[in-house]
Amino acid sequence: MQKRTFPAELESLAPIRDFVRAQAAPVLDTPAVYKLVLAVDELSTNVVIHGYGKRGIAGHLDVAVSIQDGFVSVTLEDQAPPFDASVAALPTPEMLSAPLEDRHPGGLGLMLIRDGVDIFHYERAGDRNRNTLIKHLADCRRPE
Amino acid sequence: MSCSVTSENGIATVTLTGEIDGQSAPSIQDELLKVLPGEGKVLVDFSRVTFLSSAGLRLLLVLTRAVRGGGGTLVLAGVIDPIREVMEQTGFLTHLTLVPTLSDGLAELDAASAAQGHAP
Repeated sequence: MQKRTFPAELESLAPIRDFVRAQAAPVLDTPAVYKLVLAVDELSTNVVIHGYGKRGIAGHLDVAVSIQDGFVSVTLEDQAPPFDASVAALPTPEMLSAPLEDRHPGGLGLMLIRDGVDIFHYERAGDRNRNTLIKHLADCRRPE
Repeated sequence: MSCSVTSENGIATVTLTGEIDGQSAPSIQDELLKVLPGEGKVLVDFSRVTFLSSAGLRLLLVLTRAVRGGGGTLVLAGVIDPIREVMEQTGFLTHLTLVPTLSDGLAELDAASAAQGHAP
């Protein structure tokens, strides 16, 4: 397992993506890597902006990536107030089909998190939010 | 992330390079909103954009409104597959004009002005 701690700020988004991409690229196909990295980015953005930012708290984001038999798991932990993105409301089909001129952009990030991975799990562990994102490995590509 | 705008023959071409995320989207938006609202035809070269998060989708929403609100036309060229897929999944694709290459985009914008014909 590889683990790194990033300051909870928008400047960390690119380094977080690079970190996850580097771990996942050898074992997932390119579209799967993109979706996983996107889900991690959306979740990290939420934590930075809504978790810490709106309350003016400085903090950290711990990102751990582990490659196991059959799946890649990314765990993000933060000490922002509790927020469960796994149950927050998603955009409705009506919202998603509205012309861009009338569109309210809320909830797209949540949708990309949940649709981008095979399993998304949230738990509050002590004073921490723990989000786990799991992507199954394709049939034949396994870590060597 | 970098962003530049050139204007030629009545078409503003926006070139975006890099990753559009929650950090880079707001500054690109500020930069483009200074120049785009007056433009009738806008071609965005997306071929070197390698990542787009929901912050980038919000940017597209704002740009679309700015250009179309003034009666203009917006075309995106060279969007890579994973980004196109996200646009599809979020319902953006049906409301945007995507073309494979910049020259397709120029042709599309010429056709748009021909179709408008007597439009003001």
